[in-house]
Amino acid sequence: MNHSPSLPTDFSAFCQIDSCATVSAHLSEVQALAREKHAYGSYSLPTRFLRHADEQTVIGVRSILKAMAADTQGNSDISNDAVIAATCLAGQPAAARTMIGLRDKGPVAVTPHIVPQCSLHSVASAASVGFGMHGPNFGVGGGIHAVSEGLLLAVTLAPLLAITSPSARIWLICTGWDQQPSLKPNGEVDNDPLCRGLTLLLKHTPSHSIDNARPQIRITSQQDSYSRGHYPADTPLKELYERLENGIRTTVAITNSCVIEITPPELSPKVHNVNETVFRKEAP
Amino acid sequence: MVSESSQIVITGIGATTPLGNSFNAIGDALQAGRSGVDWCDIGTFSRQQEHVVAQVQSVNLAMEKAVISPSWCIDKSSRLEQFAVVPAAHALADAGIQTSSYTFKQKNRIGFIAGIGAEQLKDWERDFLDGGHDVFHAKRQPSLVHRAAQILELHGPAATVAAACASSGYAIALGKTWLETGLVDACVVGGCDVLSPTALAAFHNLRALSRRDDDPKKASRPFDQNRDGFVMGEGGVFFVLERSESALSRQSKIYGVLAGIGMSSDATHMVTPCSDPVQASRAITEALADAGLSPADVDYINAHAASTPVGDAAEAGAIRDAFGSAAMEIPTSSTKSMSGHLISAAAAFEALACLVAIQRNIVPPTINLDNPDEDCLLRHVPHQSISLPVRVTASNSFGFGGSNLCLILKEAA
Repeated sequence: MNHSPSLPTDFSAFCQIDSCATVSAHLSEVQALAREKHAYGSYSLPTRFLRHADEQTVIGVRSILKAMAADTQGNSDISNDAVIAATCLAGQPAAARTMIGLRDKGPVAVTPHIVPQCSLHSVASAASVGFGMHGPNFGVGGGIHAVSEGLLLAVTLAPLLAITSPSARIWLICTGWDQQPSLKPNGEVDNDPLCRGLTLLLKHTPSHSIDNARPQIRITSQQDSYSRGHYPADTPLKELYERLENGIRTTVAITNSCVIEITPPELSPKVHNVNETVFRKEAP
Repeated sequence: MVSESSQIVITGIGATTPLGNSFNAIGDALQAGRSGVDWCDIGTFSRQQEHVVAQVQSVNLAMEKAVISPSWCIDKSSRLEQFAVVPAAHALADAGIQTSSYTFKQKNRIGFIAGIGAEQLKDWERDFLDGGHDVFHAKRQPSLVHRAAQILELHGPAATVAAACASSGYAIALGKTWLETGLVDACVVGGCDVLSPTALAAFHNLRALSRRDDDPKKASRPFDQNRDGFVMGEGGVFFVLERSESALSRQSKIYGVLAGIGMSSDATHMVTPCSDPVQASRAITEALADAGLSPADVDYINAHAASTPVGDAAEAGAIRDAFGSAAMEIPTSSTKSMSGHLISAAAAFEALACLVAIQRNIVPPTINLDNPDEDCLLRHVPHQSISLPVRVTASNSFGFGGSNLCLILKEAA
């Protein structure tokens, strides 16, 4: 028996982008970054909160702080906000060290931090715990489709969140390496790749009140999307990150009949240091 | 958005678990109070020669009506991949969805969300222990859910979600949002996980596992005074979700309605559940509100209760907080006493247990509950299942990072 769709296949869902921030650092810089004070306004992480954290968590947290600085709803209550973290191959150096320990010294050498701190949920959980966000927190992706999965789940979660916590927003954190860390057999790192973090602060927008001129993410039906020259769903974070930094509207094909259109904020960079850039959205 | 009268229903189930590989086999085990926990050799690099775990004994390869790409070879696939592909294929076949006869456009409208907490870690470990070097030079490749979608000829959106031990529950909840927003017409949702030396060692070193190794079947004892940790399990459980009008138009069998979902975060600690029940309770309350039901409407609560001293007591507090006076009236049990803790797949397994309760009008027991802990005061169902009408169930799931989730499953009208 064939499945017969009972609904028309036109579909659209929207989120406005309240803030957007990017952060990047080389692997060799991440440990020092983890030891820095992580604070913005009244939000700060406890001292040594990130001491066991994976590199992508450190970069993700930094990008949240920068997005907080760029938020036009500044100082708004984030206690009911949700966190979605889309990571790609996180936890690799820690996993290598753990497995070498397991092989050479046995199970006693396996760190208990490997599951809570270096799994797919870890970046989202660190943000939720660190900043006191009580909305849903979960990880997304893990592989090369992570960013598009994160965008998709954020925009489709937003209507439910708007019902349960009308003022709540979604912090979508995307992290990944330009090149994966390369490790020697003893677990030492052999290269110094760049880790990137991108945070989008999203708010559900009902379709009747969407302003197409405003920064937004829109999921929409589009037949034959694969043949229209859009970015594929496995587009690396680096590429989307650079397009957003340059304020370039981008369309990603999720399936052959569904696309995500990202209209980034107006480009108005406020450089904090060479690697951390914040884009301040024009006030409505 | 779909019409407000539309409900999200479950039309297909596939499972590979320590208690069996079909809805009926698992239902029989739960109804009989049979444990799937035993001694098992999980291979080299483990703490001891044999562990007390809940292991899948075999994967059901009988694939009548199931669509699986002929290029997929189960013998060459990892255990994790088997636990995703096989039950998902069974769920689709059970729902009567044969993608091979679908048009491309129809295949585009079937989504897939898998709750898998540590896929890459498991893949790297498997390769490393076999002498490989993937963890040193990680390959950038599609995650399992995308590979499985190809194998099953599903061309709709696909995603992996992770909320630690609540992962598959989040997959189910997010599948509901995909259907409600109209993104897909059907969605395969669930989760899978496998036993592994690293995970066993990590949870052991975290002092989260039971250290009882005298009688395996007594080791998992949720809510009991003498509980001392959970028993790790493995498996995969997947469902097909559809909107009710779609299922009815296909004259599909309906196992139950996914009536409500609630999600929240403790935001207090990366590992330990919060002793203040407010956020866990909020997840339950939001799920009931989403379902349009009140606490007194619930006939059975499937607790997350993994048999850890802190977690079980915290959950009992949350249930009492959310259900108020009804908490002492509603039969509550933890099926982890029999299945062990299926980690990423746990929430999906427990949703299945709720459907068993609804279909059979029984409440599965918490076995090994000899002396209920005073801190876990609830209306327990110790040792043996009980028969009573079950129309509405609540299933709780909690995970590291303070993730709280509640699913409300109810009888189809």
